[in-house]
Amino acid sequence: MNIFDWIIIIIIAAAVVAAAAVIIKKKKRGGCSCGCEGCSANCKKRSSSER
Amino acid sequence: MTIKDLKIGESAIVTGIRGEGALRQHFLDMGMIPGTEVTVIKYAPMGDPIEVELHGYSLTLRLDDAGKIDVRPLDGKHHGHGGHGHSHPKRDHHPGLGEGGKFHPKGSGAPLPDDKVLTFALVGNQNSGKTTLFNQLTGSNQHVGNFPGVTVDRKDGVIKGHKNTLITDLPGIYSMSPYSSEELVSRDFVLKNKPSAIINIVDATNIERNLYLTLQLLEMGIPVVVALNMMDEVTGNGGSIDVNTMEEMLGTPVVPISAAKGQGIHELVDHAIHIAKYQEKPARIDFCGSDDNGGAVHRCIHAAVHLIEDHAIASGLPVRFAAAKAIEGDHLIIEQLGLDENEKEILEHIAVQLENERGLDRTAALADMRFAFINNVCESCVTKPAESKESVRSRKIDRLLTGKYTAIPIFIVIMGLVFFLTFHVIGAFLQNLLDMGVSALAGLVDQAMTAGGVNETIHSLVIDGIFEGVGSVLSFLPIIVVMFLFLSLLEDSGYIARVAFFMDKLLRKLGLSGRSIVPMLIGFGCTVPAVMATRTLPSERDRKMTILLTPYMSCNAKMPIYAFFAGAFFPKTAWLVMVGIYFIGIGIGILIALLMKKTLFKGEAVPFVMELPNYRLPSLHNVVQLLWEKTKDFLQRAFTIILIATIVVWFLSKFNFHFNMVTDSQDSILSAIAGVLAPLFKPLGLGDWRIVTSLISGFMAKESVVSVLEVLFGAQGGVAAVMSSLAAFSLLVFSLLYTPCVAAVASIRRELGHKWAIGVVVWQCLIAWICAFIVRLIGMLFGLA
Repeated sequence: MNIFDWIIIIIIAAAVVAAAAVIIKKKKRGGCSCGCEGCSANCKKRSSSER
Repeated sequence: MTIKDLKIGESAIVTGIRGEGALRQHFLDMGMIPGTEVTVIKYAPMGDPIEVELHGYSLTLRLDDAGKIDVRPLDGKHHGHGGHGHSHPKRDHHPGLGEGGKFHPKGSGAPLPDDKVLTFALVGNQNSGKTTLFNQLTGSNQHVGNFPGVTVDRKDGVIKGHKNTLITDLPGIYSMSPYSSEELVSRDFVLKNKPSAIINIVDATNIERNLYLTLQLLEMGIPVVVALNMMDEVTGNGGSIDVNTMEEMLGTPVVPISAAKGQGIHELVDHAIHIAKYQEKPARIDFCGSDDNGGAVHRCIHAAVHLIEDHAIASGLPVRFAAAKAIEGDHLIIEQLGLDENEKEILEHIAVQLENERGLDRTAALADMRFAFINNVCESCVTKPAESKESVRSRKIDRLLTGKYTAIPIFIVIMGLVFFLTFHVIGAFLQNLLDMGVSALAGLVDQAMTAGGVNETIHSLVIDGIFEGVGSVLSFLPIIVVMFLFLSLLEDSGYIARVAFFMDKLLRKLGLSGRSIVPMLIGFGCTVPAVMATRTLPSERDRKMTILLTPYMSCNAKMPIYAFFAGAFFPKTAWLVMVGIYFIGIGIGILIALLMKKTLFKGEAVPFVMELPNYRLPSLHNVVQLLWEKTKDFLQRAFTIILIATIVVWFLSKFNFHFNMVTDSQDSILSAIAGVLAPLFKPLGLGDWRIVTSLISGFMAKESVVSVLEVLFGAQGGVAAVMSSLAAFSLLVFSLLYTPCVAAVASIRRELGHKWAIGVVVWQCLIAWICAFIVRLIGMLFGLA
């Protein structure tokens, strides 16, 4: 394993963690653009709490 | 004589509406009341439904329903509530766009505390521009279209520059008597959430019908600001509206705007925040004159108000609104009021007295009272042009696009052109370009890694895993974007509403309504919004049936699968194979619809009553926005779900249960797992564990079928070596029909419940297996195996 191996592993690991985070975040909070009841309620909650 | 007996171009006056229930109420709410002038515009190419014009707008209805509307021929003198009346010049007070209103009913309530979030409901008729205004107010980019019912659920946002506000965009409604489930969302929101104020968007080009809802909103006693949208079209066609007089007559602020051009928005926001903050309720909630037609309606409503007042206050309903609804016989409101038997009996006597004195039934009498008031307002304030440029243009275009002999051939040509351009010309060209780019990048990375002496396993992960998997899916982005571009152009132009009009008779034979065509066409893009779009259908039976049929309309995410296999096995006729697959989906959908009509969903589809919007040039901003949203969504899927799936599949296919790297993927973990299911697919010619794995991954996202195949087989040649052309076609049919992706199943579960969602998964897999098997059998009979 040389330095390039480690760099690539770190990049891939970071990409996978980021991808998983996006999926979990989307599932948990709902995308505002989706328009479904759950998402709208979450958006509403979020915008209220952000205020 | 009924509307059904009128010939094209003939006008008549409505004398009565027969029938009962929600449809009759809907007709009344749409302005089809005794005394209204209607003109027959045309019949659909198959002779049914019919398009009529009333109150200056186009309404479509089936001949059976038209046969329930009694009319008398127009004597040439009478001008009822409809037609193009209100044409007397009254231009001296025209305030123009953006000029401040002068009428403000002040001090009807105490100002709300400074820290209170001001909530607004954006309410209006379907296709009146609510979502365009919502986007203007909040700076968001919700999708807008040009057919009634694009918004099927509420959306929230904060008004730009006013942090302490929350505005909710609601599905369009024609009155406070909900006809379909999405209309119920709007009414419930206004009644239960009690917004600080209502922004009532009114289509100024179709003001009579739009003001009908306005009057019902005013009756609720909540602060209302009326936004007269599309004022640019009214003035552009030589019309005008005396906004100051209208404000005085309605007793609430009226602001002329053009949501599409962003005109008058600041003034609207100022008014909305002011009335919400100071709780300035409408100065007028009573629209029945004590001397109108002997005052029967007036006496009836006021008697009912006194009767139910205590109940309405106790149940939190606006008294005047609840009284009107109780007279109309609105069961939901009557239940909520909790009247005792004696009170219900008195209410019934009051309503019967109204019917006897007025000579109309209760619902027609109330609708007539409202339209009489609206007529009075329009007589005083509105100068209408004879016919708008948009309407003339639409009529000319419709001669061709909905003509008796031209409508269906043109529809087939348009759809054929969409598919041809997507798969063969623009989309395919761009796909090749992107594919070359991805391959070049993969080559560069490959060289760099080899030069850097990167470990063989990591090298394989990056090149055979990520670049093969994610890269292959990315190259399909142009085809998907081009398909969405065409679908959005058709939708924004107003053509899809016409397709619903002329396809109604055909769809009725399948047990569906013409309106079902809208979700189905959306289904060619994505099943998730298609399932949601079924909320515009007024009957539960039609909704369920349409939802169950949308998965047969092949979604865009399956396109990479078709392109991959058609390219590998049928290179010369690839685009024809792809179009053929779409038609197989439609054909099987039709057969399933007929089966459902005879078994699960016996009976007839609900009446088809729909407004036909004018054709509009699709807005460049909207189209670009939609394409950007779709691109973003696709890229996000590629770099999240598909990236993870690709890495997992690469790992499982390269390692055995002892976590040692294998030289032959037959010894891998994945081979062992997928091998269990492989016998199930053997009769289809798809017994290879790698193909089974790719199909399973398709449940997460359809695009990942291709990425997994690329990881497991390498390039297209790898797949071609293990299966015949017949097996490839069998796989295409299986992919077309098997379970929708997890997001689509989730949306079905949301609409119909988990039992139906599980049923769809099992049923679709079964149908897919049977059809793929039949394809294989037929192929074998012809010696193609």
